[in-house]
Amino acid sequence: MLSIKNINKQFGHRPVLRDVSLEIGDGELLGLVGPNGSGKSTLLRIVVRVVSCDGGSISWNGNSILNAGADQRRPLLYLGHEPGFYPPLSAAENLLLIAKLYGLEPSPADVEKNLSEVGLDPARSGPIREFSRGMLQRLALAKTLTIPWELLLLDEPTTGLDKQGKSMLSQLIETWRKDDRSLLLVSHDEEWLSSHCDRMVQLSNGRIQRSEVDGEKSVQTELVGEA
Amino acid sequence: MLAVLVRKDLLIEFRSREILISMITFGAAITLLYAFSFRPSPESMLTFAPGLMWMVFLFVSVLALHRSHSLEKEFDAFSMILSAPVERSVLFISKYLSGFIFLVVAQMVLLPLFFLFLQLPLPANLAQMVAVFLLVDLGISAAGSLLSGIVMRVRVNEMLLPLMLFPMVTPLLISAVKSTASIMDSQPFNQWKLWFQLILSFVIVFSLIGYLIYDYVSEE
Repeated sequence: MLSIKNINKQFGHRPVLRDVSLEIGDGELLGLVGPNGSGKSTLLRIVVRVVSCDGGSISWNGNSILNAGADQRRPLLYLGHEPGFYPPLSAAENLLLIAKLYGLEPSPADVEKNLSEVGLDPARSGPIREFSRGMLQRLALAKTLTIPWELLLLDEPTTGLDKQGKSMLSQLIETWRKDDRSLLLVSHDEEWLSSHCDRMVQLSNGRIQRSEVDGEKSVQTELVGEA
Repeated sequence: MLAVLVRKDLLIEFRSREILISMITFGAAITLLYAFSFRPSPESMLTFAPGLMWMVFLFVSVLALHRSHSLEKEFDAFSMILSAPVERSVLFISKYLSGFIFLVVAQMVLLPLFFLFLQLPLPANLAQMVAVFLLVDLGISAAGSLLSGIVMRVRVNEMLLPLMLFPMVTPLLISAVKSTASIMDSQPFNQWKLWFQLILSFVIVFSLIGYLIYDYVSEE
């Protein structure tokens, strides 16, 4: 279980997150929505320690992630808004490199299989600098098949994906649901998000404004009045 | 993990050839400018050469340090590495080592050019010269990698890096110039030992600082 407690973050004098607390249970698919600049991406980046926070605590299964060694991040996999690859390398080289960063040694055949599964040509050896946004997004999804994870944090995963790509992503999410994996999804597409998530949380002005279970407003936080 | 990260930097450079080509082209251009701009006597050239040499290598090193970190930003690969189970101190050492390797490779091409175009005599004690160059390269790479990590997310980082790096490495550069001049003048080690010790101290201090604080400076 991921437990986020009283997270605060300011960029300069501008508060981005204010006392944000959230929990994601085992096997839960949580959707995070909110307007631009509400702090959704920042929260995800704080969880995986790409961004520091000004206060609060985050733990995974009771083990603190903040101020802990790199090994505590091993169960978490973060797919950011940007692809997170090296442009001069090929798709297979990028995947192999990322696997090695997680201490894995996948065979080239495994990497090729994962690339094929997300609809990329494994024989393509050119640099990913030539890839379209949608192809980069598919490559990012190949990471989820290469790295073993317990909690997946996805920031705008539908960006650049065509209809086929979105359908593939939906299938992957359903597979993960069946496998009882935990997901934290951020998207502007509230409709798409609500069709996949068990619970939706809205962030506005850096605060949690509302929380819904299966589309019904069954949990209401008391922070709506805060600007 | 360190080997994986250094190999990654070298593979990226092998594929893109962006860092070394720009370092060598820029370094050769300045060397040629020096060679054709002024023609002092061989004695005065020996006095100026170490300073000119280290100015060239400092300018050239900024290109490598900046490019090495800006590549991490291009598709936000740096966030991917930060979120992976990789100790940030190891990440610092990898950047430090790859920066050092790029600088040494560039010097292997530029130094002969420098000696050739400025018509300098080869130093009698080459081993001392190599030792000083390797140590100073480590110092520049340690301070530069740390600073690049700090400024990489700032909008005008390409401007900020040299502005912060040059004053920071001034003690190292002075020691490098004095040591190189002494070696080229065939002075015994005892006479320039202090400068060598200063270089060594700089390398140790900045390597340790980078190792200890990179965890904090790498996060946004």
